[in-house]
Amino acid sequence: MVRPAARLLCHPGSSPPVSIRAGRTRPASRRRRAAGRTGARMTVRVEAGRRAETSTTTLTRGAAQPDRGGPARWRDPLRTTPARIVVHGLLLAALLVATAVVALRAGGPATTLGERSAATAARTGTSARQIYVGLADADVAASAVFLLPPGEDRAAGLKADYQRKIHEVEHALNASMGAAVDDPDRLAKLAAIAARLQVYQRIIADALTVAEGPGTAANQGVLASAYAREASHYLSHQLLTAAQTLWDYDTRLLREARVDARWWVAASLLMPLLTLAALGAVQWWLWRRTRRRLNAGLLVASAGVVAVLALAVASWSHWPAADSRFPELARAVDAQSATQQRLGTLLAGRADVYLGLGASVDPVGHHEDFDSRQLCGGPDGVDCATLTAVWTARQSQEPDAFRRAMDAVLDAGPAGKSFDAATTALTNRLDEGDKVVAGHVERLPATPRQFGGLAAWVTLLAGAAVVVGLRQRLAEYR
Amino acid sequence: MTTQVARRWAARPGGGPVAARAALAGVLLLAVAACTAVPPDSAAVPTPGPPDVRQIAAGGEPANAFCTVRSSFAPSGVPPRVIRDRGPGQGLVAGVDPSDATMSHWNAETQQFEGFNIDLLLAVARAIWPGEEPRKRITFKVVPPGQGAFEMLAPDHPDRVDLIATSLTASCERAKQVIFSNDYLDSGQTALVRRVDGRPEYAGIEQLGGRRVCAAARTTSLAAIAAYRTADGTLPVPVQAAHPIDCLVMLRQGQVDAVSTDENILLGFTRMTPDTVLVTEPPRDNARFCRYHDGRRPCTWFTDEPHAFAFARDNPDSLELARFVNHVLESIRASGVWAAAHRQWLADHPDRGQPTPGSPVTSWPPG
Repeated sequence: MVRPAARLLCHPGSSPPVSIRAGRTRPASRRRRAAGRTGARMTVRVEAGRRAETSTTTLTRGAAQPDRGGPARWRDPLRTTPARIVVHGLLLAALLVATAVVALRAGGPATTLGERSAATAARTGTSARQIYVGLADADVAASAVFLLPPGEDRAAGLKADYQRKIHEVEHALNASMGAAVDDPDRLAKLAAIAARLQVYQRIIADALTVAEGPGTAANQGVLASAYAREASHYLSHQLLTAAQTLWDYDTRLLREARVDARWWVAASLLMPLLTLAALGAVQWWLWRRTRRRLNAGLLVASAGVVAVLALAVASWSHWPAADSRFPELARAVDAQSATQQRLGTLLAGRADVYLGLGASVDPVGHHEDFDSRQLCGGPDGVDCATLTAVWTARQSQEPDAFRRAMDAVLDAGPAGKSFDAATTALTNRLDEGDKVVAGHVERLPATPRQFGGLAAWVTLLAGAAVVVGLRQRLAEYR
Repeated sequence: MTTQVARRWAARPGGGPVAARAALAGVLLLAVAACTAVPPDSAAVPTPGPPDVRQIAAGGEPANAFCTVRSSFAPSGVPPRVIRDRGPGQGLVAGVDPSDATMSHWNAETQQFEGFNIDLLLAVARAIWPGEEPRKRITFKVVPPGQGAFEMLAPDHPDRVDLIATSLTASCERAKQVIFSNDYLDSGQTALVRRVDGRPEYAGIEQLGGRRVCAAARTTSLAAIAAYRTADGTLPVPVQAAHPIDCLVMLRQGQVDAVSTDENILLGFTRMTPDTVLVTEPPRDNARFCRYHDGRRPCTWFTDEPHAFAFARDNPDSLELARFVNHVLESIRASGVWAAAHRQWLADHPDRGQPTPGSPVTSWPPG
C-alpha cells in the first residue's frame, strides 16, 4: 500500500544506508539482505509514502500546506484520510445500529425461554385445543341432526345436542377473546374463528329451516343434507384450519422457542464482540496515523459496547438451563399436536359416517373421505367392522337395513360406542399430555431481567461518542 | 440510506454536524421501531360453498349443434340371462342420482329410493323376476350426475352398475361411450332463479348474460350453458358443481344467479324451495327445441333432452339388457305404468307423454 514517493540512489559508502518509511527507520542490514537476494547493488532508498497525508511528515505540515503526495492524476479522493475516516465512521455506525436492534429484538426470544412465558403459552394452547375439538364435535352433532327425519323422536335430542356443543365452543371463544385483549394477533385469530363459526351456524340454521319446513320429508332431507354437506366442508376447510392456526400460534413459543433463541443468543453476543473488534481496529488505524494518540470518542464507545456485552450476558443467563430442558417440552407439545389432530380426524370421520348414511347426494364421497382418514383399528381407532352394513344401508334390499344402520351409528349402537371409546381414549391422552407439558414447563428456568432497552440506549450513546471522536479527528485535517 | 439522510440534513442551510447527528438518531429510532412493528392479521371471512365448485370458461359448441339419440336396438322380451340367474338378494344394480327429487331421491321416512326413474326400474325388475318383490331384486347405487357415472359400467369397477338411470340425456357424443335405451322422457333445459315479489328475478335465459349460471359437472346442461349466447352477444358465466342440488344451495345463498338443467329436475327443486321459480320467458329461436313440449305454458327450453338409460358398450350382456329394457318400456306404455309414474312424479312436466321410439338400429352408435 505504501508506495515510494521519491527514490534517492547513492553510491555505496557515500552515506549510511538508511530506509525511511512512514517515519520508521529500518536497519540497513535488512535492506542489504533484500538487495543481496535480488542481486541489486547496495542502495540507499529514502521512501516517503505516496500517501503523504498518512506520514508523520505530512501530518506536521498538513495544516499549513496541502498534501500533494504525487501527481494529481494518481490521487483518488475517496482514499484520502478524511474520506476514510468518514467511511470508518459509517461502518461503525452500521455495526452499532445492528447491535442496538439485536439487543432490542432479542428480548422477546429470551423471555419466551422462561417458565412464566411458557406456562402462559401452554395455557392458551389448551384453550385453543378446546376450541378445535369443540368445533369438530359440534360438526358431528350437526351431521347427526340430518340423519333422522324431523319427525323422529331422537331428532329433537340430536338438535339439542348440536346447540349445546355450539354454545360450548362459543363460550370457549368468548373466554379466549377476553383473555387476549393484550395480544392483537391472537385476538384477530379468535375473531376470524368466531366470524367463520357464525357462517357455519347460518348454514346449519338454513338446513334446519329446510328440514323442518313445508314439503315432503324426502325433499326436505335431500336439500337439508346438501346444506349439511356444505357446512361440514366449510368446517373442515375453514374453521378447523383457523382453529389449528390458532393452536399453532399459541404453541409456537413452546415448539420453536429454543431454535429461535439459539440464533438470538448468538447474535446478542457476537454483535457486540464484532463491534468491539471494529472499534479496536479503527482505533489502531487512527493511532498509527496520529502521534500515537488514542481517540477519546472511540475509547468511550468501546467502553459502552463492553457494557452492552455484559448486559447481553445477563439477559441470556438462563440460556444453558433452558437449552437443555426445552427439547423435552417441544417433544411433549408436538405429541399433543399429533393427538389433537388425530382426535379432529376421528370426529370428522364420524361426521363422514353420518353424512354418508343420511340423505347426502354423495355417500360414496363420504365413504372415501372416511377411508382416507385411516381410522380403522389400533388402540385409538374405530372398529370398522361395525360400519360395514352402514355404508351399504341405502343400497340394501332389506327393508330395515337403514333403521339398523342408524341405530348402529348413534350413541347406543356398536359403531357409536366404538367412536365414543376412541374419542375417550384420545381425550384422556390429551389430558395426560397436558400434565406432561405442565411438568416440563415447571422445570424451565425463570427469565432474568431483560436489558435490551438499556443496551440499545447505551449503544446509541456509543454511536454518539464515535461521531464526536471521529469528528474531532476530521477537524484536525481542516 | 442513513448516510444519505444525514448528509442531506447536513447540506441544508443551517444544517451541520448537529443536524446530521439528529437525523442519524432519528433514523436509528425509526429503524428500531420498524424492526419491532407487528403486521396486522387479516381476518377476511371466506364465503361458504359446496365442495368442488368452480367457474369454467364460457364458449364452446353452440347449443343447436347438440346431436341427440332417439333410437336404440330392437326390443327383446328375453330377460338378460346373466342378471336373471343372479341369486337371492342379488339382482339388477342401477346407478341413480339421489339429488333428483322427481326422478330418484332417497326418502328417509320410507327408507327407500323413490321417483319416476325408480318406478320404471321397478317395472324392469318385475319383468325379469315376475312374482317377486322387485325392491328385493334391485340394488340402487348412488352415482355422479352426467357422464361421470359411465366408468361405473366397466366390468372391473369395484362399484359396478348394470345400468345408469340419472336423468341422462341421450346425446350422440355420449353414444360413443355407452349404449342407450329408447327415449323414456322428453324434456328440455331451462333455468331456475330466485323468486322476487312472486316473480322470477330474471325472466328468461336471455336475461342471464353475464350472470353466474350453475350446472352439474360433466353434464350436457353445463356444456349448453357454456355455449349459450344471448341476443346481445353476452355469455352466461358457467359455474360447475358436483351435484345439481349443490347449485340449488348456492342459488339460495346468492352465490349464483340461476341453476340450469332439465326441466324435470328443476321441477323437483321448485317443490323443495318455494323461494325459487322457473323462468317464464322463452329464449329466442327455440322452436326446434320445443317439438316435444306440450304447449300448456310458454316453452322455455333451449335444448332438446331425450332421456334414456345407459348401458356398457361392447358387452353382449349389456346389449341383452338394453334390448330387454326397451321391451319393458313398450310394455309399460300399454299397461299404464309409465303414465301412472308420470302422474305421481312429473304431473306438471310439460312433455307430450311417453315418447315413441325411433326406428330400431342394428349397430352402435346409430348413424
